Amino acid sequence: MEILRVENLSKTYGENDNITKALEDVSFSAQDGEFIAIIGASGSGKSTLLHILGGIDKPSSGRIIVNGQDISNLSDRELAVYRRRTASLVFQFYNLIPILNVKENITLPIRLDNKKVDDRKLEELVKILGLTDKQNKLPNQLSGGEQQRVAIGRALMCETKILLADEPTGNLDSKNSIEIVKLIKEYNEKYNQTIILVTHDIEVAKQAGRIITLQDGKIVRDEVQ
Amino acid sequence: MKNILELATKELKSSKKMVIAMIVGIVIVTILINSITTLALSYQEYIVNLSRSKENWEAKIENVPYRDVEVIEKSENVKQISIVKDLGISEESYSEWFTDLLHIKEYDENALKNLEIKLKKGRLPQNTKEIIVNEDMTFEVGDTIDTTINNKKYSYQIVGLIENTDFDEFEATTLTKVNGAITLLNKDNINENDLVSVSIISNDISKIYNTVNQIKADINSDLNIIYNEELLGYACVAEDGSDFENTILIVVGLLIAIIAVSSIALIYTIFNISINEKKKYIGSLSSIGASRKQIFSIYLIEGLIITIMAIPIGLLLSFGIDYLLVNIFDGLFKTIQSSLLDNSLLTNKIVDLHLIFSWKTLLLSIVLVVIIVLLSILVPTINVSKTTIMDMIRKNKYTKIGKKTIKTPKIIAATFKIEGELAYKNIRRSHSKFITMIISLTITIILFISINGYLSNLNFYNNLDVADYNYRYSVFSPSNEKDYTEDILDMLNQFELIDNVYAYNMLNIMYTYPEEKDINDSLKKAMAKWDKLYLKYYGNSDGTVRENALMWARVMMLDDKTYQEYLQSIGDSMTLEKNECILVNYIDLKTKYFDGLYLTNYKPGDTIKVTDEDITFKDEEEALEEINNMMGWTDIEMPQKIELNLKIKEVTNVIPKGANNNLYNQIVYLVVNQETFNDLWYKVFNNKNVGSLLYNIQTSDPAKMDETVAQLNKKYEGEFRINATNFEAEKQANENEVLIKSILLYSFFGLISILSVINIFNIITSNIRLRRNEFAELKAIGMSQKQINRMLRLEGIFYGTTSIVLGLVISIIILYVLYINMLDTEIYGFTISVPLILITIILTYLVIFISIKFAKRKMKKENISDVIRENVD
Repeated sequence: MEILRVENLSKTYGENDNITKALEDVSFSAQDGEFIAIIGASGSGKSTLLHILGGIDKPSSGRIIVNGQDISNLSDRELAVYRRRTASLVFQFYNLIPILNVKENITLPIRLDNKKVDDRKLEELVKILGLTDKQNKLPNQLSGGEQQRVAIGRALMCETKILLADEPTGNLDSKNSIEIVKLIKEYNEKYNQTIILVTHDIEVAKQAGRIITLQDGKIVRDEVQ
Repeated sequence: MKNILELATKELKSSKKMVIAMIVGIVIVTILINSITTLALSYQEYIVNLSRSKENWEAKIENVPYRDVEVIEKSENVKQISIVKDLGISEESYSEWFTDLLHIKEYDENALKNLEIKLKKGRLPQNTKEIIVNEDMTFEVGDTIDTTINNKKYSYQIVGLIENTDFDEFEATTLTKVNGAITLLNKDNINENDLVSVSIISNDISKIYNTVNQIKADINSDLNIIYNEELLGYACVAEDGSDFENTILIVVGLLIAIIAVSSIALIYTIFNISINEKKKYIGSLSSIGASRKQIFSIYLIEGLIITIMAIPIGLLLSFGIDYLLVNIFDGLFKTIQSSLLDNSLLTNKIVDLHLIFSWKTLLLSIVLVVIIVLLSILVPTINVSKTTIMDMIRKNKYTKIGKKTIKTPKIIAATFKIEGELAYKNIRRSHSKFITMIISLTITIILFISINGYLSNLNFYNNLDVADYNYRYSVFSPSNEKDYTEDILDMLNQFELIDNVYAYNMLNIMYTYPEEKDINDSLKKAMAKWDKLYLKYYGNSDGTVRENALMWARVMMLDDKTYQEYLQSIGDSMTLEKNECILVNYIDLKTKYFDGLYLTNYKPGDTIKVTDEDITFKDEEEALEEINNMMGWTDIEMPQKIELNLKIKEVTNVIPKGANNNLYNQIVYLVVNQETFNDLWYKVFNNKNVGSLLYNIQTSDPAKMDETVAQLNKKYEGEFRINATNFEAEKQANENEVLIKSILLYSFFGLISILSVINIFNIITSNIRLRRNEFAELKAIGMSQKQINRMLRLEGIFYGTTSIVLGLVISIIILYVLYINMLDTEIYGFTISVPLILITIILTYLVIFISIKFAKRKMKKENISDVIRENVD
């Protein structure tokens, strides 16, 4: 089943002579439960694509249909709900909320949605993330790998259909990187969650079932492993 | 060093907003501190001059042999001396009935000028043959007085009359009165060994004790030293200190402490925010080899440069403001002075208030400002020089946060949900910001409530004395031969000074004895507090009504015009027949125990009995009669009691113009017609003529009235004299006191609240600016703008509520202390103005929400993706 379809997506910055094309006529679709890695050099537009998919940036033209709904036309309010319920984001610099501890960070999207936190599920997730003895710590007391696990936990906790990860291992050493990707893959297999992961690390990309390569804002290769 | 200075200057140019905010802050602090020290100094000088205007001497040395006077005069630090020689007491008495003696002292020219003389009539002596004597003696100006002192005969011409001097004496047992008299010192007739008293004015009052001690050492004689404690106290040089000195020190100290706290909170925040925003830049400096010490120096110098720029601006503005204030206050102080002066004295002097400049206070102000700035910028500067390079380079992120999770109170989480929890954690994340924010808000709240509370107490207290007077000026002119009052009114009318005249006559010492059923419940209730409310005439200490409760009944007659106006004011039109009256049954006063006091239950148609019998003296009178009988003095007649029944035609709460009522003499006023009044008067005073009417005058220019009355009195001296009381002056003096204090306190509050508002605005906007990353992240995980707005609003509410609660608690304590110290707590209750508190609360939230609104303007337009990307770069 198709969960996501991108049609003729373009994103430009600047005006007239100074125009920069970040994305140019990008089209692809993703199936439910697919694990896609997007690779490309710096400035190829991969982060821009992911941000647009996550609803924190708007395309200049084109459509993004998620679950049959065009998200490029949503209001800010609807986009906030979209991010809470449909597509969750994981960033390179984790972007945890510094005043909240591990548990609070993980449950934040659910609480923003005014839903009750499922304690059993939280416990299980924290255990899988290997953060059981760190759950009351603040982000500045955690290592980079631990912080990224919290960020992933936050994305997984709300059981969104799609997990969008922007260079989740970009700031980690190789051991931590492998662990993080393993975690994501496990979840992908176990819960059939669709994952789109941006990386410039080919080893990380190889874990995905499909690799899309971007170059100067265009898809130059799209291969299934 | 040169490089560091260069870097510091460049830094300044790159952070204009911070520089402007700092300069505004430091300018205000300088204005406040310099104005407070300068105004305190000017006020002190004024008080000293006021004291000198009465008597101008600092130390008095008695028993100085005349030959040694030169030693004193030539002493270092002695500016001027006044010499007084005691001639002695007269041998002859000037009265047949008691011993009426003359005590003559010879004053030199300086003494006549500097020592206290209360001249009532005439002028000061100009030669050794002229004298001024006590007005109580039977002499008049122009008379000659002969006297013998120590077997020497003297003859003087009286040129002036004075009030009691400090060498007047009265001995009751021997019926001896010694009257002070002053003449000019006869320098030809003075012996080298004669003892005189020498009063000193010094060049430098602070060295007066040393000067006197030196004189004591120089003159080998048994000297007696008296210091002018009052003057030395006002000059703040008294050896044992003085109440005035303590008060000035406490007030100035307290104000400077408030300024210091408010301004440190502000300057610290500005500097801290500015430095935190530049961490990346500072990191770059360190990474290319700048040492901690150098970085510390750059920011310290930056702060000092700003201070050096701001202080002169502040000082200039301060002196400008002070000059203006002093000019305004000078006029107000003069009105207060003239209301306190005894109008009958010819020797009155009015003192000016000047702006006093002193290098010492200027230097003190500058030092205080520099200390405040240093204290404010030291901590941020030290902190930044301690931060590691990596910390600074890595991210310019607002992550200042402790290691401990902030626990959100359950009630907040439950009531305000996740936004409330985030808001609470946000305001508590930086301890220093939370504290400075709360300090700024709380100080402003406390000042606002306390100042308003103090001024309203002051107003209430002042109005207790004068509010009863519904007129501004009263004149009367008793004279045995003729009542000149009508003539006087005609004269005053010619000067167009009279707006309205209320004429009335009154019988004061009359009583009524209402039965218990006729006493109003509100009065009975008040009687339970009889000892506090002076209700002993009516009630017993257990609250019961006294048997034959006595009540003052003042019988009043109004002239036609006043009566007609009075009827209008009670909304009635009637003619009073003989033995009819209008009863005024109410005291308009609010105390702890009642709000307005009704005295009786009499209704129109009832009869009230007035009498001149005071039953509180009944026992004494009976005892007296018994003694008379025992001694066989049967021819002594006890006075006849007078009784009159008046029919009450109307009962009202309105008191006639000219009368007044207050807590201390609960009076029922009975307004009657002329026939009734005259009848009663003849009975009470054994057919004596009815006294002249009393005239209360409303005038728009009481000061001019004073002047005119004085002129008329001079013109008609010997013929008649106008006795005038200027109630307006007293009222004006009270109002001026409130006005002066209002100007000072509100200016102080205004400037402090500017400091606070800048600080609150700064903290809120910087908090929001520095957290733009976090807002983007929150949005990225699905927080809507609405939820973020709610979170920010809640932050404001938490700041506001914390400060309001804290501020109100402290303010109420301060208000209570003011209440205890300013009002009679036995009678007047402690009240808190609800509107004042509501205004405070509204203003507090208004300042916070406007700041939040302003800070949010930019945030809304930002693209989440852009902000998050900035992080990656």
